[in-house]
Order: sequence, then C-alpha cells, then structure tokens
Amino acid sequence: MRVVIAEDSVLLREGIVRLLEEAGHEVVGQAGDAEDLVRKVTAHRPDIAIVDVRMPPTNTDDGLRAALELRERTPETSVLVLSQYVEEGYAHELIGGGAAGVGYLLKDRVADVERFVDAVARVGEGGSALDPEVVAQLLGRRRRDDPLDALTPREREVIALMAEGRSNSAIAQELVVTERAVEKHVTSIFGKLSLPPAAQDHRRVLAVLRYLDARA
Amino acid sequence: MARTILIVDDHPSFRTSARRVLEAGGFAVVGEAADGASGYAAARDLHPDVVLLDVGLPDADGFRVAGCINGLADPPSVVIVSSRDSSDFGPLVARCGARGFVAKADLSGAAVAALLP
Amino acid sequence: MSFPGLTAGKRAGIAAIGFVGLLGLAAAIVAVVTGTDLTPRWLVILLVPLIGVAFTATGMYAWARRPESWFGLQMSLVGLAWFLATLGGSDEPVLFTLGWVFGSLYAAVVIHALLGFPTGRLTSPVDRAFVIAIYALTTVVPLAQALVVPSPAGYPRNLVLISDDSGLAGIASAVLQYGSLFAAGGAVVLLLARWARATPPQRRLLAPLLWCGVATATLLTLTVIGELLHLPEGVVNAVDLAGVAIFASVPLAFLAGIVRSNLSRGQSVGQLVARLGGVGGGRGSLRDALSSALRDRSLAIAYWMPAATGVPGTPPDQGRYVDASGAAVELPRPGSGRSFTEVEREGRRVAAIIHDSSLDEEPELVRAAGAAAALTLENERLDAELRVQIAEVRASRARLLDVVTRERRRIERDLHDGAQQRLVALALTLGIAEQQVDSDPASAQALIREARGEARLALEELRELARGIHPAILTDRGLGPALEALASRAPLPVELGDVPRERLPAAVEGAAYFVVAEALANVAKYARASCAAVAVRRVNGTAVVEVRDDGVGGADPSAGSGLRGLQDRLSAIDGRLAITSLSGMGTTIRAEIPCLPTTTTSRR
Repeated sequence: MRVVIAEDSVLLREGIVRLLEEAGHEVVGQAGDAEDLVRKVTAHRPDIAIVDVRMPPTNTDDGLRAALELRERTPETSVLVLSQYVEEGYAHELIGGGAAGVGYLLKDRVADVERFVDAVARVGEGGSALDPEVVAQLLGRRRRDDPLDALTPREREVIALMAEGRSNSAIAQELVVTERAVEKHVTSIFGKLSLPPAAQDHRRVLAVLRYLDARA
Repeated sequence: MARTILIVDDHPSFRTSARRVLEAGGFAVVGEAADGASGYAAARDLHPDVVLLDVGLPDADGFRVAGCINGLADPPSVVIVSSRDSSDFGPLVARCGARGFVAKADLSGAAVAALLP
Repeated sequence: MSFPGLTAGKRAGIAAIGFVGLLGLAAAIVAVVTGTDLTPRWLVILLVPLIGVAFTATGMYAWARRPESWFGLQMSLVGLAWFLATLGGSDEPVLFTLGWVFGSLYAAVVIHALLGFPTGRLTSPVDRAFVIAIYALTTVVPLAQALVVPSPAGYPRNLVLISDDSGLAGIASAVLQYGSLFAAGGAVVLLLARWARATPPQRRLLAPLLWCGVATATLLTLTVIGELLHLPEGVVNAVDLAGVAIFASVPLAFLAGIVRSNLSRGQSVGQLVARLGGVGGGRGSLRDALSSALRDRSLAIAYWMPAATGVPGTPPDQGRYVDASGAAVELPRPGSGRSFTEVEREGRRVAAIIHDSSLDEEPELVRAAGAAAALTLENERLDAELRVQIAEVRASRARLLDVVTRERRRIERDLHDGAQQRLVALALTLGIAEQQVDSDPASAQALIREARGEARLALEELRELARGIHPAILTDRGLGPALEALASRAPLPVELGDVPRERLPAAVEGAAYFVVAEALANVAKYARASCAAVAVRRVNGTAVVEVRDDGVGGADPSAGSGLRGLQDRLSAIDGRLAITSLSGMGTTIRAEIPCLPTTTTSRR
C-alpha cells in the first residue's frame, strides 16, 4: 500500500517508516505538521494516512482536525489516528459518520509490530481498527443492570474484538476457535443486545459503538 | 572448572536474567538470595567463589553486607551491582572491600570475570 | 445624670430607700428637737439629720451609678441605721428603746461597707467572719444587755427590760466595751490589710474611703480605750466628737473620689490623645501610652482576629484574641483581679484592653481611653493579623514541601522498582540474544520475543506511573475527559454528573482529579457499594468535588494514608476535605478547592 505518515517526533516517524517498508508498503510522504499532512495527502492520494493526534502548530489536536478534514476531502484515503491516551471523544468524532477506513490506535501500539501492521492493512483496505484499550474503556464502563452482563465471558471477548474491527476469521485466530464458533457467538450477541444484523465488519463496529454510546 | 557464584538481589526478574547471563558466560550459579541476612548465610554455607551483591537490599545496606562477607574465613570475591551508576557511590565500593562494580544493564560473564584476580 | 444598667427592680429599691429615709429623717428630726439632754443642742439638731441624709442620699446615688455593686445600698443602710440611732434621743418609749438598743448598728454597717468597697462583696473569709461578729456585737449583745439593764435615770422606759440583774448587766457591759475595742481595732487592722493587698490602681480607688474608715475606727478605738482607762471625760468626748466628724465625712470622701476620677479622666484622655499623636514607632508605645493614661502598669492589649484568619489551634470559624506577636490570648475571668474592656471602631470589634479590675469602677475612663486609641489599635490589630497570616503561610508552605518531597520519593521508588528493573532485564536478555544469534537462532528469537514482552510491560508501568503523577489527558483535555477515563476504569458503575466545561487552573484540576481517583479507589476497596456518583461544580471561586457511594459507610479518615495524603495535598493549596460517612449510609467525600489565587485578606 501507499502510505503517508504525519508524526512530529522524528525518531518515531523513522521507526514507523522502517516497519512499514519491512512489511512491504511504500511510504510516499512524511509530514511534520498538520498543514503539511493535508498537502501531501492531497498531492499523493495514498491508500492510508497515519496521523498523530498531537502535532504542530498548536500541539493539541491538530492531527485529529486534519484527519477529519481529509475524510471529507479525500474520502478514498483511509485514516489511522495515533493518540497518546484513550480519549473517547476522538473515537466518537472519527467514527461518528461511519467506521469504514478509519482507525484509532494508541501510540504505544506501534511497538506491537504484528498488530500495528495488521491494523494498517485492515484500515487501508476499508475496514476499521480501534485500539483494544479504547474498546476496553468503552466496554468497561459499568452500568447498573448492565445488559452486557447477559453476555458470557467468551461473548464479551468476541464483542471486544468485533468493536476493534476484526473480521470473524481474525477473531477465530485470536481466540483459537473455529470460524463457525465465532459466527455463532456473533449471532448470539446481536440477539441478546437487539442489534440490527450487519454484513460488513466496519458496519459491525459502528453498530457496536453506537450501542455502547447509547448505553453511556 | 567453572567458577561458582551466588546472586544476592531482591528483584526476582533480575535474579533470573542474571542467572541466564552468568551461566551463558561460564559461571555456575550455586544459589540465590533475596535479602542481606540470607545472602550472608548463603555465602557462609555455600562457599561460592564470587558473590554478586545488589546495593539496595530491603533489610540492609549492600556495602555493609559486603563488609560482613569479607569477615568470613576465606571470603569470596564480592562484586557490587546496582541499577544506578557507579559514580553515585564514589569511594564506598572500594572501601567495603568489594572487587568492583558492574551496572546491572551491563552485566555479563566477561564483565564479572574481568574484576576477579 | 444618666445611669446605664439600672434595672426597674433596682430603681424600685432606690425609691424604697428614699422613702424610708425620708421617714427616718422625719423621725430623727422629731426625736432630736423634742429630746432632752443633748448638748450643744444646735449642733446636734443640725448635724445629726444631715449625717443621715448624707449617707442615705449618697448611698442612693452610688447605687444608681453602679447598680451591680452593693456598696450603694450599704451606704444607704448606714444612713437609715443612723436615723435609727437618733431615735435614742426621743421621749417616746418605743422609739427610745429601738434607738437605744440598736444605736451602734450603723457602725457595723459602715465597717461592712468599707471592707466591701467597691463591689460590696466580702471576698476574704476573715473579713466575712469579722463582719458577722460585729453585727452580732451591735444587735444581739445590746439586746441581751437591754434585757437586764434599765435605762438611765431621766430617760424613757426600757421596754424590753425583763429583770434588773446587775451581774449580767456587768457582763454585758464588759462584753460591749471590749467588743467595741475589738471591733474598732479589728476594723483598722483589716482595712490596713486590704490596703496592703491592693495593687497601685486599686489603692488609688480605695484611698479616700479607706483612710476615712481607718481614721474613724482609730478614733473610736481611742475613745473606748479612753473610757476603759477612765481618762477625763472632756478628752474622751473630744476624741469621740472627732471620730463622729470623720465618720460624717465618709460620704464626702466617696463623692470626692468620684469628682477626682472625673477630673482626672478628662486629663488622662487629653494627655493620651496628645501622646497618641506622637505614637508611631515601636511596638508597645501604644500600650505604654494607655498604661500611663489609665495608671495601670500591668495593662495589656489583645487584638481581635476575626474568623478564618487562621490563628493556629483554633477552628476556622471562630474569632480569637491574640497579642502583638500573634499568639492566642485568654481574656481574664471575673474574680481573678483583672478584667477587660473591649474597644470597637465603626461597629467592628478591634481589641480588648486587659486591665486591673479596679478600673471596672471607672468604665467611662477606660472607654474614653479606648475610643481615643481606637485608630491606633486598629493599625496594631492589622499588624498582628499580618503576622498571624505570615505564620500560617509559612506553615502551609512547609506542609506543601512535605507533600511534594514525599511524592517525589514515591515516584523514584516506583520507577526504580518497576520500569527500571524491567528495562535492565530487557537489556540483559537482548545481550544474550545478541550472543546467540549465530549459534542458536531459534533460542535468540525466543529471547528477543521475551525482550519485547519486557518492553511492553515497562511501557505499561511507565504509563501507569505517568497517570499517577499527572495524566496527560488531564493536561490536554481537562477534567471532563479525564474523569470519564477514571469512571470507565472503575470496577463499579460510576455516574459522572456535570463537570465544568471551562478549564480550571492546573493545580485545581490536578487536585480535583486525585480526589476523585483516591475516592473511587477507596470505594472499590472498602465500600462494598453498588454504584458511585461523581460531580464537580464551580461555586463562586471554588471548585466543589463530590464523590458519593451507597456502600457500608463508616470510613475513617485517619485510618488510610490515602485520605490523609489527600488532606495534606488539599490543605497545601488552601482546599478543604470533608468526609461524611455514617455506618450503613454510604460515604460522601467532598473537597472544596479555591480556584482564585488566595491573598490572605480575601479569605472569607
């Protein structure tokens, strides 16, 4: 895939570039601030832009703003956003309109090379990737008479992986079960939570997230 | 004949790593201890050639334990380790009778051997 | 003449005295005019009623002037007893008997009054016993004598005579004589003892009356001695007359004392005002000026610190008196020989002048002095307040330093025991892997994977540690998102209420965050609650943080170091922590954190 990276820490940026090139991707542009990112993406039209939330000029959430702008301007370019901490607000803003081609990972996740590369591939192909910690925080929010309590522990694992944006086969691999077993769990979950059935993975993510949002 | 060594440190993860490093470096690890009292007892009972001694022990100051070990009959060589820098300790290392100091991150069989006679 | 403090009851009492006095006066005049054997007649007719009126009227004035003192009443009673005595000159047997038997009662009352001046109360047990004795001497003994002794020839009949017994009469007469000697001599001794006990300001007050009393008693003593020694009658009568004359001047001495104090008051305050004009330098110069104006060397000044000035050792809602250096002062209690007068300025309490209790007799003087000095007192009060607050700031800074030092040590320890150890293990593992890369690649690969695991764990620990110091999300996004994150990580449902959307000062946000973090941690550990509620409100310039749970309650703030650490942290930034935790009723932790920088005077 063709990738543009926007990250103001040179060390980290170099690391990600090397990582992706090892994995066979082509890094067509590197940006050190939000404006540069928009320019490069508009020029090169990559498959995916990997963006740090915090970047110059204001070093608050310029990266996020730029990413949202890119979603409007160049919707064919997927966006994978990296953040230092879990901020539910970012997740909502990014995924609000739709989860296709969107990812939100914690920066630390880069160190987990296989997962990171896997997420980049998924998002670049139009799927979604939510950091497990973000999902954990969303799911972890306890409620009184929580409908999620109706799920079995295995189903909780499955819904977490679904919310991350994984496909059934990926979930099956992760949990070391058959794909059929995963499908059964998914159906059970959707039934218990009265969720509308969703064909594509990213629609699933959206459904689950909307559900979790409404619960909050 | 491999030289025998006793590891005295209160962090179990370091004891494991140190054992691996030292065994790979040609030492035979004959014992581990997690505090000063049991470290001294092990030095007295196991008669190792070398004692790898951490400065920050929960029940005593490593330098004092080094002094006690030096008081044994036919005392083993003591090598001080710490996650801190040697410059933090100044003359304390020499004064307590230890052979020398090795920073934990630089630990290897060769580094320890270099300090022994 | 205005008489503050005069109740209706006392007014009635004074009126009653006046009425009886008039009656007595009338009776005395009649008795004197119609009586026999009175020489020189004109002197007696003039003086006797006059003395009675002087005592009664002065007594009434004294009582009205100082209603809380019994002295005035006692003075009036002296006058009435005097009238009673003059009845002894009457021709009517009833009046004569009364006057003859109780003719010396007035002496007992005047001694009682003098010993009790100025309060009218006898504090010394010796004084009390003595007064009781002389009352007995002037009532019981003469009555006993009258039972057995007929009136002298030419006098009206003694109505209470039972039997003429010269033996008993002799005894009674001797008792009376020696008793009088004892009474008069004892009075002199006790009055002198009173003088010796008194402080200089008290002496100034006592002087006129006391010396009058001593003189009278001395002369009376001499009279009795003269009788006993059978000195020539002329001498005895002269001394007796002198005694009566001095006795008559007691009311005058009292009034003179009042006039003198009024005059000197004006002088003192005038001098004080002039001197205050020059007062400016040096602590204690105002005290010296007041001390010399009121002529009380032991005078002290206490300044009023309103609530929340933070005098150490007092609860924050109470005001307290302090001395010039800021140390708390206790005001003297009644009966301790010292008392105090409060000084106000523009309706606000400023200071209290602690002085000898004799100055209670001159409240107008003390008040005038206080009013003259009020402005200077207010300035000195502000100085003292400043000193108190500086001490408080210093103490607060020390506490803050303490908290910070402890935090730093904790961080160093956590770093050393956690992430640092992992990184060491990581380095070692990689070292081995490096060695084995060619000889045993499979093992090297396993080691490298292990090293990555260690790195991940180290990252995790550092992240936790950073969150424990000051979470990045709090710095970047504020309280709302940071508390959301806390609520999500809690093992029980947490309702997050409205949080102020605007950013608060960093120290405030930090404190609020850690209050919630610690509170939720405690709820998870101890409360056995089913849910918790967190709310942050901004009220005026204060952030109010509340964490409520529905658990078992009974939280003890002194038990856990977490809550204690919170209290320290909060007090270092002038915040307050309140824990309400009744057993079985859940726990509410409420923290109030001022958002505005507190200057010492803006605290409510």
